[in-house]
Amino acid sequence: MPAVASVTEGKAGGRLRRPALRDIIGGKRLGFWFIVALLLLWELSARSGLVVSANWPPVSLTAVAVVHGLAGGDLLAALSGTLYRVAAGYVVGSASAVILGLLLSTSALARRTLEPTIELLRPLPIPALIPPLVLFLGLDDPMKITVVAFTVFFPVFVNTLQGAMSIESTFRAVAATFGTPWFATMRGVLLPATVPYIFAGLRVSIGLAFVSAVAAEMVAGASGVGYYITSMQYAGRGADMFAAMFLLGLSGYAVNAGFVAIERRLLFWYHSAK
Amino acid sequence: MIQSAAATIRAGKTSDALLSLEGVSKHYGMRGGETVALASIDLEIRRGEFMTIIGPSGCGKSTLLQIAAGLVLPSAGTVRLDGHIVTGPPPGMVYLFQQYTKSLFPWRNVRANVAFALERKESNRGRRNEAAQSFLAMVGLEDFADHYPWQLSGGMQQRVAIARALAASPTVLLMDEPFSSVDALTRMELQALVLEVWRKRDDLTIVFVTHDVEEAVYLSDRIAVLSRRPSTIERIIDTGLPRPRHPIETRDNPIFLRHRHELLGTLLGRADAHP
Repeated sequence: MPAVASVTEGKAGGRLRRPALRDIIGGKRLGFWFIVALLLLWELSARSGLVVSANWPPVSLTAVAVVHGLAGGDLLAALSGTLYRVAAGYVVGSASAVILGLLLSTSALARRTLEPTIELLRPLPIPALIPPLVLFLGLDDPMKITVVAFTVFFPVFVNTLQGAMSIESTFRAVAATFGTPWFATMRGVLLPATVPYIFAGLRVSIGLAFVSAVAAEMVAGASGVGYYITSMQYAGRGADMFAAMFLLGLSGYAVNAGFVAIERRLLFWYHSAK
Repeated sequence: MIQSAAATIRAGKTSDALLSLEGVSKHYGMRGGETVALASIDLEIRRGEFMTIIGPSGCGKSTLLQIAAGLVLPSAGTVRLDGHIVTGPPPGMVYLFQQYTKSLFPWRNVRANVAFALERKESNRGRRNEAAQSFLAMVGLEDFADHYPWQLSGGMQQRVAIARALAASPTVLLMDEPFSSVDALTRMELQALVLEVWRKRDDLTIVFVTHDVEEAVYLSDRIAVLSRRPSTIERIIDTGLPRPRHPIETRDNPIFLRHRHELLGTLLGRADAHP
């Protein structure tokens, strides 16, 4: 047996050092300082009398409202309700989109049958969907979760289908030559090969899920951050309104960061193989 | 006659056809007419032999092999494996793809890639991995099981693909220009590996596709020469070269040189006649 050639090393080696000044305020930190500056401007504009309005409380009062809202339980309950609906709708919508996308990629007949319907439903603005859904599903969770699921479905579906259609045809042929059964081929070859595309759709859908959940809460029902924000607006409680917005933004940011971490773990092969 | 069956076969004294193609043709319908890739192919591959199909590029060698594998359906004609008509990839026949970068799964490490071939036979993951490890040892890659394919050189990747193909315990191994994209030395190493694997498994039949005349003569018992499109089998050559083959001496053997000369003449002459 001949000796085996050496393994190609991964892309190792450190980056070049940045200059000292940019090290202090540069890179990611620059973005952080910009946020600090914006918050300071907010505080000053409200405190100095530059903007005089009950609807423009200083950021410090908003921070107090965040603490009170979370401690008092009102805002916390609204937030957790919204997050639950976002999560449930997201899981239902994306799971069905992945399954349907993978299935349709294997059958031209199914594609020809279902694609016109899907293309007709896809451009529907989500808010337009809420009133009819209220009639069928009521004002509570079933309606809102459906709205979120519907929103999430399309980007994930389109990416999954296009991804599954574009994967290396040799992968399918390999599964065929080893006599891999249908389900094992779907799960063990088609799905992992399509995961990079699926994630592109999933990532877009996170933001959309929040949008549609909050919109649905604003239109119907009496729960969730969407409802909380509109109520605080009516009540003229600016600080509480901004507190809810702040927490919503923070949640979205956290979810997205978690998503990126998962993506890195699952798709290391995709990024390294290139 | 109490001679070992394998010996008889290896001596080429049997016409026991394991894989046969009868009147196989392939047309591609296209706008503005039909392209005939394969005109009408009749070919019998004997049990245990090393058969090579050679021909100019674009003559439909790979298509022919894919039809034999049951991966592509012929427009007409039948493929039989052990008497049974092939309509899809049959168990016992494995196709080794030309482009290892596209046939190995980049999301699986080397061990898991080999274990893929065992998933149908062995449900226990531990035993599957153990078996995969032993097939990796067969191709000299036992220390690279935890690597990912894209971390390996081209030659090593094709070794992984060979290990995966062997893991399926095929009786027929169909190899589609498997060494066309590795350097010359690696190619010779891989040729030696394939011959060794084939020698160790008496019942293994290999059908090998190449456009490299030396490779064809060096490896094969018999060589089927395909014509240009629409392709037919132009001739079949029995190499009669002694085994085991030796990477240097065999290439100096007068029989080797004569076949090489003839085959190159056939392929080049034809190329000159139809530029």
